[in-house]
Formats: sequence, C-alpha cells, structure tokens
Amino acid sequence: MAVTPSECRILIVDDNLMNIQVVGEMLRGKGYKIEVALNGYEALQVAEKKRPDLILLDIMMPGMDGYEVCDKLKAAPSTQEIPIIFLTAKAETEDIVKGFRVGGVDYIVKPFKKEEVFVRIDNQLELKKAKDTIAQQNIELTEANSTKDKFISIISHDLRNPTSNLLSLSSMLADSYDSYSEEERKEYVMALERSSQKVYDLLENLLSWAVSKGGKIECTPRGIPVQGLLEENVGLVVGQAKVKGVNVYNKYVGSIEVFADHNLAHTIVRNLLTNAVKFTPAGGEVFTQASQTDSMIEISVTDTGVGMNDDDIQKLFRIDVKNSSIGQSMDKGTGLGLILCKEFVELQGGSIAVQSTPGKGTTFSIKLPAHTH
Amino acid sequence: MKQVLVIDDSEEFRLILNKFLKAKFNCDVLLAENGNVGLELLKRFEPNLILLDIDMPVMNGIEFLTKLRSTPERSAIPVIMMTASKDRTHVESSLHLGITDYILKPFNVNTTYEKVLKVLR
Repeated sequence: MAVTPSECRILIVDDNLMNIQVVGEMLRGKGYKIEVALNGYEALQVAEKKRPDLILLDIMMPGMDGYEVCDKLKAAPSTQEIPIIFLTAKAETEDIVKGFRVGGVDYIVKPFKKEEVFVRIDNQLELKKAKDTIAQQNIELTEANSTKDKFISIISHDLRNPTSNLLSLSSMLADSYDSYSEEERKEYVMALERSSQKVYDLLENLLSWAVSKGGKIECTPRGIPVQGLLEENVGLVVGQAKVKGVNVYNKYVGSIEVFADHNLAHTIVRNLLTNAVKFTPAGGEVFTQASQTDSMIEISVTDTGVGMNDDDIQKLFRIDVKNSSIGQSMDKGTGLGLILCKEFVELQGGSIAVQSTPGKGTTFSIKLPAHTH
Repeated sequence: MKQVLVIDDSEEFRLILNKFLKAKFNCDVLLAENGNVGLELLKRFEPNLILLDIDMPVMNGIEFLTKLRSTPERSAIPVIMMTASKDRTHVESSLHLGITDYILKPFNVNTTYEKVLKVLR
C-alpha cells in the first residue's frame, strides 16, 4: 500500500532549529508537507490542530522531553493513532527501549542516513494507511451488518405479525361466514383491509430500502409542485386516519416547487404522514405545511400525538438500534420508514429534523432544494 | 357465563378472538392491549381463562405471567400463550411459569377451538 508524500503531513519536533531545517529540507525535497514545533508544549498543540500523519520526535528538549510528549499524545484520543518515530542522539539500549515503551513505533539514532530515515518513515506511513483503511472498512462492515440485522428483524417479526393477522382474519371469516351478520362481516373486511394496508406499506418500504442499499436507487430530480405533493399524500392516509378518529389536512397553498425525484419525494411525505397518524390518538390532528427560504424548501408534518423524549429522538434514525416505538392503540413501528426518509432526503441534497414534546406532539421537517425555473 | 381475558397488542387479533370466543363458546370476553391493562382488569374480574400474547410493548407476556403468578388470588387462572414466533425459548420460559397450553399464530380455528374447549369445558 504505497503512500503519496504530497498527501502526508509530518510534524518535526526538535528544540534545535538547525536540526529542524536539515530534516525539514530533506522531507520537503521528497514532497512531504511539513509542520514544525520547537518544544513539547508546541508539539502537543500542533498535533492537536493539524493532525499530522506522522511525528518525528526529538527526546532531549528543555521543559517537556520527548518521552513525556509521546506519553501525552498517546493518552489523548484525538492524537493517539498518530505514529511517532523518535529521532535522537540518545543511543543507549535503555533509551531506545523506553522510547518503544511510551508508544513510539520506531527509533532512529542521530547522526542518521537520509535513506534510512525515508524508508522508516515510508514504512510507518504505509502501516498507518493500512490501519486507516481497515478502520474504515470496519465502520462499513458494522453498518452492513446492522442493515442485515434490521432486514432479518423486520422479516422475522414485523412482517410476520401483520401477515399472521391477515391469515387469521381470513380463516376466521371463512370458517363461520354464514353465522355472521352483515355488519360483522363488514367489520372483518375492514380489519382485513387495514391489515393488508400495513403489510403493503411495510413491503413497499422494505423493497425501497433494499434497492437503496443495493446502490440501485433511481434519483431523477425535477420540479414537483409542493401543494400537489402534500395534497396527494394527505389523500392517501385520510381514510385510515378517519377510522382512527384523527383529522389529517394540508395547510400549504401556493406554487413553490421542490427539485426532487418524484418517487422518492412521495415516499418521504407518505412515510412522515403514516408515521404521524400512527402516533396520534383519536381526536388529534396531523397537518402538512411548507415554506421557502432562499434556495431550500422546508416541508413539515406536524401531529398532536404522543411525542418523544430526547432519548427516543436520538435513536430515531439509527439503523443499529431496535426502536420499536409504541404508538397509539399500541401500534408498533419498525423505524424503517424514518430511516428511509433520512436516506432519501440526504440523497437529494436535503436534511431532516425533528422537534417533539412528550404528550404534546411532534414536527418532522425536511429541507429539499427549491426548483428554479 | 364463562369469561375469557384476551391480552394482545394487535387490534385485529383482539377483534378475531373476541368474535371467535363469543361465537364458539358464547362467553364473555375482556380485551386488553398489553400486560398492564390486563392486570388492571384482573383487579375487577376473575376470568376462567387468559389468552396471552408473548411479544407486546409496555409489558410483554412473560412479565405479565410472572406478575400474575405472584398475585395470590389470581395465580391459579389458566393461561394459554399465543405467539407468532417459532422461537422455542419463549414457549419454554412460559412453560416454567405454568402455562396450560400455547397457540401458534397464525390462528387456526380448529386447533384454537380444541385448546380453549379443554379449559372451558
């Protein structure tokens, strides 16, 4: 894993200006970016501020010696991963051992040979690059693993329950159809419709998410009139909300347009509305609103529902946290809808925010770029 | 008239069992959406059977069962567990708490009828 010197920043710490000049010229000649510090205190500050890829550290310095500097750098989370090579005239075995003990990765004794310094620096920079790559891959793997866990959890639990309800309802209806009154049958059919809608909504989100995770999501932004977007989606949830005794309406009237993908924008608004209805008790309301500030349009969905505390809010968009929130009538949420909203909003250069008060309600706001004619 | 308490977080499932029990056993049905509500109802009623879902928010079936078994005047009420999960550990942990039987979701009319009949007979 070769390193490119021009992409690497090296901090030289030495109380002798002449030494700094010699080493500095040498490294600069090879293409490295150079930072310098003339004592231990300065070294700590520069390391913190500039985050070099490697530090060449003298030992014998007044005030704070190189060992102490190394010790402090290794104790601070922000600098502990920076490799430190001691570059010193102290040549006794016990000095060298101490250098490694306090966290140095290599030790070069002055007077040094230029080529030796280069090869040792290159070795450490390559190691660091490999380490950084592994750390990044670890983060990606952890996320991929959480995604997989979420899929399994949704399929094994969240999808099984409503599907099981569908089967139970239809088998019950089939078993005793003749013994039910017309009204009871109607009740069954309505329950079947609600269950089917839940399964369908969940499947649709699951499929959108699978496509998104496969990196195959289609995003073709164009101007979408906001009033139509809100009214159309309010229309989709109004029936389901009415059954629950929740009033859903759109407050925004106007001609602003978002620059977004049609399907993604509809998925976002539909999910926010479905969610709001789910967490709002009978007698409550859910409404949509929109406004434009400079080049961005803010769309909000407000409910007078159960609300959330800060702890719940922190968990909302996290894929690795099981967030089966409890809605009114004990509706359970998979949390997938909001994760999708966040991904789709960010994919289109926007952002999502939430404000909530337990017992009073919640407002989800998304910002998307405005369409300019 | 016999009385059955159904504790399940799914509104549809409560509807199903309410209709089923009334139609097949002509009994009185009490409905609760979680263990807490179930315990509240037990302060006022003494049903002949409890049909209890395992996986519920607020208070799940196992927690409910543990509390029920430590309530002297209600501890002997027969309980049939209901679960959509094929996870045996759930059923096993409830067996320790003395359940009479268990029903796997989705709901099968004949099996459920027979299991409930055994208790209510």
